[in-house]
Amino acid sequence: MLMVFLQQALNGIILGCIYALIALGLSLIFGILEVANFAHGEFYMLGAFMALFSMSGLGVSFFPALLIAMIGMGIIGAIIERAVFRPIVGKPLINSMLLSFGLSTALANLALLLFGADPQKIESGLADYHLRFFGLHLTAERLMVLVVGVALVTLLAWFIQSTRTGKAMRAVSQDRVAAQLAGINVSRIYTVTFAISGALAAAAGTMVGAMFFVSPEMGFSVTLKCFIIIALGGFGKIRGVIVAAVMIGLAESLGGGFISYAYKDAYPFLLLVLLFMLKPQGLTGGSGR
Amino acid sequence: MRGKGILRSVLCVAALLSLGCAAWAALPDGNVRVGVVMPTSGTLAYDGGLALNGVKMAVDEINAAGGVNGHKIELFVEDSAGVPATAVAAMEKLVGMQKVVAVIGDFGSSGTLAMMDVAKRSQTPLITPISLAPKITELGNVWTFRGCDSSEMIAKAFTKWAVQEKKLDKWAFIGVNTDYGRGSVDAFGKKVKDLGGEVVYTEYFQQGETDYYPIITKLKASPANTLCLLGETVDLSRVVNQFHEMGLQEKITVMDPTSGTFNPKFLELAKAKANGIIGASRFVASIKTPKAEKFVADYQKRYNIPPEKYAQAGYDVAHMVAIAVKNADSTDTAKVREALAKIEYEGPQGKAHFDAKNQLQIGEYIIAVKDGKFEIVAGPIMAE
Repeated sequence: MLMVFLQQALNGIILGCIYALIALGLSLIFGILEVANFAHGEFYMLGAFMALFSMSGLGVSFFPALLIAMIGMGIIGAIIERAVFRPIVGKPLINSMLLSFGLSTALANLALLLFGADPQKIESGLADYHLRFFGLHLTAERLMVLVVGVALVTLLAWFIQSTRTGKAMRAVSQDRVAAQLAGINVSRIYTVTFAISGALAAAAGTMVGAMFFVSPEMGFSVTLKCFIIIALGGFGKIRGVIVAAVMIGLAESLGGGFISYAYKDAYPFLLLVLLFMLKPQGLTGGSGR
Repeated sequence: MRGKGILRSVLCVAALLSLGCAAWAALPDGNVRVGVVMPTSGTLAYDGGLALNGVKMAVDEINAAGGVNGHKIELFVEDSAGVPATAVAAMEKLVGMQKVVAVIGDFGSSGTLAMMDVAKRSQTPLITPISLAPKITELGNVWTFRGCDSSEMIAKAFTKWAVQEKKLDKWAFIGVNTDYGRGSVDAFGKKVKDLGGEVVYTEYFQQGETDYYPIITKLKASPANTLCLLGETVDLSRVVNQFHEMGLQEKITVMDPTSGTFNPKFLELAKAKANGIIGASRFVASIKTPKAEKFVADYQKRYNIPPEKYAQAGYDVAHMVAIAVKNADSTDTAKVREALAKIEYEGPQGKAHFDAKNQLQIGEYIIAVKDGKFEIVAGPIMAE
């Protein structure tokens, strides 16, 4: 029983890593641009397709494809920010919600038109290597997800904490006008934020495409889940979002394994309701990060 | 002399009369008109087309061999589009305007169930080559025949083989969370228990689910030696992939009794992981009987694809209708119905006859996936 619990917990943490990558990008956009990007799941979907096509079209192996997808979605993210979101920054939240819903539908349907509805699999070549330790079971593919996920999140935390651009991003998220007065190029920060979010989503999409499948409709449910995560973790808070992402992963895995799998999509929402009842100020409290 | 003349003329009249009588009892002039209702448009168009392939091939064979007592069979094909209301309209048209002797159709059970009332009212035999719902032959409608197995028969034959022959006694079920999934899990679970097996694990998933690790992990900790899957192609390919990732293939036999995995898309998604999945089917192209081999070769030559169970059923049912008309030697629908109920048929699938409920009694083959092909493991197994 203990082994089953530990195995389920391990599965949940790996799932949480994926959620963290997607939710962090979404949270950054929300914190810095103050827009809600409901098309974020589609970034993740497009990233996965980019990796899939680099592997089938260019013949590269998995890790270069992951890199290509991240760079590609970084560029597309920047373009989308410049073309679509820039004009509505500072407008009421409902503007960005409607706009991004439209963008989400458009991107998903465009993918459906261009790539077809048939799900496809990214072959990382790692799924057939099995690791066993202390009675736990892990494929090399899942270990890779864990390692890449943790590495990217650490990299992001370091970038935001220590680099000049990262500090500027924090400044903009605290007070846009003050940051502008201090000489920060706010427009550039917006573009960088979208590029980073796009790249993180693409990494998550590629890894999910290897573990599961790539298909045009894969993005939508993920967006919703990530909004729950950033609501749980606190908008714009990195550590809170990571904790919340792992919590949601664990809730799905343990709830699905020990309570009922058929209702596993309900557990994250239950968690959210519980949190709002018990700790309305959010997981990490009212202030600080 | 004169007496002889009278005798001759009496004989002549008698001969003429008897000829006339014979002509009156036998098939009338013209073609034997047979109706077909199949989905030739909509989502079932491809599968419906396969059944229609079989029907057309059978009719061409019969006509080339001289037809039914010298009369050619003429087909009237209507599209049901997989919609019950359309199927009923198609059936009305066939019996009302085309005056067919029998109707072959529909594909989906709901279409066939809807057409059954028209069959009864118009007193026209209706024979479905595809529909599986047990209800069709349980309603007591004598005008309706099922020219294939029912889902009940598949379940019986399959569990009988698995539990009694293969000694697979500890069953786990993973099913899609729909009426079909839950209904099938209940039905199969009950049969397994009746045969002395145990159901040790049951889980349902939402359609389109991606991550099955929570339930596969739980499955690993259960004492199950059999995993029975009830769902659709894409979802099941994920289950099977993750089942292999957890390394359970040595310990547990995977079963797919309703054939959600026996199609090319599944083989493409699961690749070598599809190997060893066991299912049931009344027909596969690798059956080695002379009738089956001839059917497979002729079909392959005509359509450039190997036949599967839909084409086989269409082919068999069209032959059954022709034999019934021949035995009845009439186009009177009541006589054709009686003849159909008494038929003793042997086709590519094997020997077959109808029981008192107009359900065809045939055997099931147990099949397994091996390197992208479907191999016969056992059979034919009769449900009773």
